[in-house]
Amino acid sequence: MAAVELRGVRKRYGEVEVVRGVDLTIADGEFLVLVGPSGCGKTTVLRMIAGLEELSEGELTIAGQDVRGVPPRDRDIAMVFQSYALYPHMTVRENLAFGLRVRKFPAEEIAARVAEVASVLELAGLLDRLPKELSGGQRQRVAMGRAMVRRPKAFLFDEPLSNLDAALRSQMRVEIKRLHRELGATMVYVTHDQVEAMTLADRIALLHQGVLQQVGRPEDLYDRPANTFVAGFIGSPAMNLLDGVLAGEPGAPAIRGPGLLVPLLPGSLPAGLEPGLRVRLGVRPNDLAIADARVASSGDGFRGNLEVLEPLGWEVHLHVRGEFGPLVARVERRDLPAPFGPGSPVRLVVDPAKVHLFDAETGKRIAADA
Amino acid sequence: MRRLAALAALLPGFLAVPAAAQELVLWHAYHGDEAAALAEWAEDYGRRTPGVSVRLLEVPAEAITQKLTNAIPRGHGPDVFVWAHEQLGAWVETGLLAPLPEEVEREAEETQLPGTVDPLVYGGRLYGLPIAFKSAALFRNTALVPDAPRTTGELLAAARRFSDPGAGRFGLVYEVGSVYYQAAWLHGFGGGVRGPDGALGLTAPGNAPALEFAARLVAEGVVPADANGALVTELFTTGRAAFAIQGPWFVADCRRAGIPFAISSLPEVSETGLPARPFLTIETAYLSAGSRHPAAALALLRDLAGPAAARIRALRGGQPVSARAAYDDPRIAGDPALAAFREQLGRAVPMPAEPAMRALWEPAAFALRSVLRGDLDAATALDQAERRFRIFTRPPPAASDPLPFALGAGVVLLGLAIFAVHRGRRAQVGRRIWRHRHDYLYLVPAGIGVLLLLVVPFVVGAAVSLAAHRGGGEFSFVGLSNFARILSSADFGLTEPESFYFTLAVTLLWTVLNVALHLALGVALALLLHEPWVRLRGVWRVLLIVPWAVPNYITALIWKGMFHRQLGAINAILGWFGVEPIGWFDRFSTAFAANLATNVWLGFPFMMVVTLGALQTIPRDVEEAATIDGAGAWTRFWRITLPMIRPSLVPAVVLGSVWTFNMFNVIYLVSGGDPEGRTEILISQAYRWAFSRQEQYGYAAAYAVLIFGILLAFDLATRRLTRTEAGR
Ligand SMILES: Nc1ncnc2c1ncn2[C@@H]1O[C@H](COP(=O)(O)OP(=O)(O)O)[C@@H](O)[C@H]1O
Ligand SMILES: [Mg+2]
Repeated sequence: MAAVELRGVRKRYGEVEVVRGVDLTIADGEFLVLVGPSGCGKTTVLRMIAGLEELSEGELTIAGQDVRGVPPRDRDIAMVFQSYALYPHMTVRENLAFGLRVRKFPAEEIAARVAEVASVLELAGLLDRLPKELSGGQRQRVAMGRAMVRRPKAFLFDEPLSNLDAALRSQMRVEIKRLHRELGATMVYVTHDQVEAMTLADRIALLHQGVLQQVGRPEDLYDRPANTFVAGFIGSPAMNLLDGVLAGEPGAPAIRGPGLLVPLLPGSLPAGLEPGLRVRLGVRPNDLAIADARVASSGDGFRGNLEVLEPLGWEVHLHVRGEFGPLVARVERRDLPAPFGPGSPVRLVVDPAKVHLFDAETGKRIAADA
Repeated sequence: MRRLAALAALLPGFLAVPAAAQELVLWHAYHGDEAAALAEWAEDYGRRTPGVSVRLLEVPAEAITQKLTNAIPRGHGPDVFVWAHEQLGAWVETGLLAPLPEEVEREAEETQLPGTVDPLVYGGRLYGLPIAFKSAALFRNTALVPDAPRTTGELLAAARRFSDPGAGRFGLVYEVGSVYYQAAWLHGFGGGVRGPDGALGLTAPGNAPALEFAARLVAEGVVPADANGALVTELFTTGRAAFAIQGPWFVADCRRAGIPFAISSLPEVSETGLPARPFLTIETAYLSAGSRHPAAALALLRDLAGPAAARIRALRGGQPVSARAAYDDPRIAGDPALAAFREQLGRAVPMPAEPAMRALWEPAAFALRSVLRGDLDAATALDQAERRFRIFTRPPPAASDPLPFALGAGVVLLGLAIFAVHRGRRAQVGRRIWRHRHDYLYLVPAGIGVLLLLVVPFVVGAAVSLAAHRGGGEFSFVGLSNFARILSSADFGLTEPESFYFTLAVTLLWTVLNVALHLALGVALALLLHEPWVRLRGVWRVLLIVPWAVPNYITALIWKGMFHRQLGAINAILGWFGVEPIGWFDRFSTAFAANLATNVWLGFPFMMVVTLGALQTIPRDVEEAATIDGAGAWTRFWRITLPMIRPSLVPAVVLGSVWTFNMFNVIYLVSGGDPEGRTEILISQAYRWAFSRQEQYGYAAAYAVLIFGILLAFDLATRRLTRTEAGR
C-alpha cells in the first residue's frame, strides 16, 4: 500500500493545457474520488498516475518514490478501465491470471490467487467463459478482479460503473466500498457522478477545467463548498445560486435582492465587509421551507410563484420563479398548504445558519471561518 | 416485336453485300519497318488487282499459333498468313494449311533462292511460299578486326587478343545458353538435332565436342556467360566486343549505334574442317485451309513471294528476301548485309519443321547449360537430354474403353443426386426456393456467369485430364493413366526435376517460405506504421502498397533484370562489397532465392494491409491494460496483439498460400525453372507439359486436377482448424 503525491502536475497536448497545476496528496489506504464534469481532465490525471501519459510538468511520487520515467508495469498499480478492456480472446481465468503469468508467478500461487479473487467477486462459476459470454456487471467484476489479483500498491478506477444500469450501479458501489474496507488499499476513483463521489469517498477532489477546486471530505464539500462551482456541482438537486447585496445593520446583517430578503447569523461574516457588496447567495433546496401561505404578502425570505410541482412520493420539488429568477425547493408533501398549484404565490424561508455566501466577482466562499 | 423480327431477317442479306468485292485477310506478326513494307505492298496489290482488297492484321507473335488454331477451323481465320516455317509440320497435322499446286512448286524452285523452298515441303507437298530467310551470321567490329576469320582457330585467336573480362571486354558475344545459336557449333562439329537415322534427337556424335567447345569459350572468358540479347547488343554496339553472332535483325542496331561493322559467314570449325552452320528459318506465306477465296488467295500468295514484293521488303524492311530476281536490283545486290546473309544461306541448316522439334528445345537447353556451368560432362548431359526428349515425345497411353468409367461416374453422381434430393426434401429446400423465387431470379445472371466462367472450364479441364492429346486437337480417352504416370513417377526418378514429387516438394517449400516471409514482413511493417510516433503515415502506406499495385509480371521482369549476372543491379551492389558476380540462375539455392525475393516483394503489402486493418480493431485500452499488467512490447505482441488479429490473418494466410502455390508468373519470368527445371512449381510444370513438351494437354490437365485437389484439401483443413477454434 502506498501514498500517491502529485505536485504542480501539468499536462499539455500541443498548445492545449488540459491539466493545469494539480497538487494532491492521496494518503496510504485512502479512497480518493476525483470528480468533475466530463472533459475536465480526470482521466488524464489518472493516466499520468498509471504511467500511460507523461507529465508535461510537475512531480509524481508513489510510496515516496519519484516515478517519472518509470514504466507502468514497474509502478505496481492496477487500473480498471471504463470499457473494462478485458482480453477478448482469453477466458475469465486467463484474464485474471495474465498479470501474474507475465510476472512469472509460480503456477500454484496464480491458481490460489485467482480462486480467491473469484470467490470474493462471485466469479467462480464463470472462470471458463470468454468475456463476450458475460453480462456487463460480470465483465465489470472481472475487470476489478484482474486488478485485485495482483495486490498492487494502488488501484486506479476510471468511471468503472458508467456502463452499468442504475440498479447495478448502486449495488456495485456498495461492493467497491466493501472491497476497499477489506483490502485497505489506496484507491483513486474517477467519476463524473457526484452521488458516486459522495457515497464512496474518504475524500473528494473536485476538478474543473484542469484545476482542482476543492479537496476534502464529502461533507466538507457539501457543507462548506469553496466556490460557486463546487456549490453547484455537489448535491442534488443542485444548490440555488442567486444574486444579492450585503445589507442590514452591522449587528443584524442580511442579504437583499430582487424579491428576496435573507437575514444572516450575526458573526457569520468576516470583519470589514462593506454593506452594498455584491454577492452570490447559495441555498440548498432542502434547506428551504414554505412560510405560512396566509401571510405571503409580508415578511422575509424568497417571494415568487409556483411554476412546476414535482411529486416524488414523500417529498416534493417545487420550481418557483420570482424576481430573483428560478429557485428549487425540496419540501415534505405534508407541509404543502391546502389549495396549492401552478401559479400559487409562495414564500420560502431559510435557516440563516444554512445560507452560503460567495463573492460575486471571484465566486469564492465568504465566511468567518473560511 | 414484329418489326424486330423483320430486321433480323434482313440482317444476313445486308451483311453479305460487301462480300461481293473480295476482301482477303492477311495475318502477320511484323512490326516497324517490316510491317510498313508489307503494308506498302498490300496497298499496291489492291490497286493492281481489281475486285480484291487486302486487309492486314498484326497479331502478336506469342499469340499467333493459338489464334490460328482457334480461328481457321471455325471459318473466321485469315486467307493468307505469314510466319516462320518451324510450325509448318504441326499446322499441316492440324489441318490449318492448304497445299499448293504442283506448278506453283515448280515455279518456286526456279524463282526462289536455293534452300528456301525445301523446308516448306512436308509429306511430299509444298505448303507455303518463302518470302524471306533468317539465320545467324558473324558480325565483327571492323575497327578491331579488319578481316573476316575463315576458321574457328582464326576467330578465337582474334577474340582472345581482345578479351579482358575484368575490363568488361569480350572477344565474342552471343547468347551462349541458347540452343538456337549453339546449333551452328553442333553442325560444325558434325552433329545436330538429328540422329544418324535422320530422326530428331541429340545422339549425333559431334554434339558432345560441340558442347565442350562452347563451355571452353565461356571458361576462357572469351564469351560472357549468361549473355542475353540485351547484353549482346550492349557489348557489341559499344565496341566492347570484337565479334557477335546475331541475325539480320541486329543490323539495324549496329547501324543506329554507328559502329564500323561487317558481316560474314560463320567460320569453319578448325577441328573438323566443317563450316559452322546456323539454323535457318524461312519466313513463309501460307495459304489457309479455311480461305473462302482460295484462288484469289493463291494469287495473292504468289505475288507476295514474287520479285516486286520482295524488292519492297528488302529495301523498306531490310529483310533478306528469298526471291532471286530481287537481287537484280543494284540497290539490293549492293547491300553488304543482305549479301552476307545470302552467303550464309548456302551454309545453313533448315530448322526441323516436325512437331516433335518443339519438345527438343527444353532438354537440349538443359544439357547445354549444365555443360556450360561445368555441372555435367557433355556426354552425360546429352544422354539425359535424349532420355527426356524420348519421354516427352513418346506416344500417348493406349486409349481405353470409357464405358466402365462412365458407369462408375454415373453411379457416383446418382448417389450424390439421391443424397441431395433426400437432404433437400428434409430441409424443404424446394418449397423455400419457391417461396423466394423472385429473390432467386436476381441470382440467375450471376449464376450463369459462375457456370460459364468457373464450372464449365473446370469440368472441361477435369475431363481433359482423363484424355490424351494425339496432336492436331484430337483426344482419346485414357482413363486414369495420366494420373497413374504422374503419381507413380514412373518416368523420372524422385530427385529429377520433372518428377511430380520433386516439384511438389519445391512447391511446398516455396509456399511455406513465401507465406512466412509475407506474414513476418507484412505484420512487422503494419506494427511499425501503427505506432503513434510515425510521421507521414499515409505516404509510407501508399509507398509500401506500390509493389502490390504494379502488375506482377512487370515486377517479375524487373527483378529478373536485377538478378542478371552482368547487367543486374544486385550483382552491382554486391560488387561494391567485393563480392564476385553471382550467376543467380546457375544453382538451385540462388535461383530459388531470386524467385523468393521477387515474390516476397510482391506479397508482403497484402499481409500488411490486412494487418493494418486488423490492428484498427484492437482497442487501445486493451493494450494499455496489458502494459499495466506488466507485459512488455514482445509479450504484448505475442499474447495480445497477435491473438486478436489472428481471425483476420487466417483467411489472408489461406488466400496467400493458394496464390503463392500457383504463382506462375514469378517462376516463369524470373528463374524460368532454371537451373534445369529445378525451380519449377507444379503450375509451371503443368504449363511446360502442355506447351513445350508435345502438347500433352491431358497430362497437364491431370497436373491441374492434382493441384486443385491439394488446395482443396488445404482449404478444408484450415477451415476445420478455424471452426474448432471459433467454436471454443
Ligand atoms: N491524447 C489527447 N490529445 C489531445 N487532447 C486530449 C487527449 N486526451 C485527452 N485530451 C483532451 O483533454 C481534455 C481532458 O480529457 P479527459 O482527461 O479524458 O477528461 P475526463 O476524463 O475528465 O472526461 C479533453 O478536452 C480532451 O479532449
Ligand atoms: Mg474520462
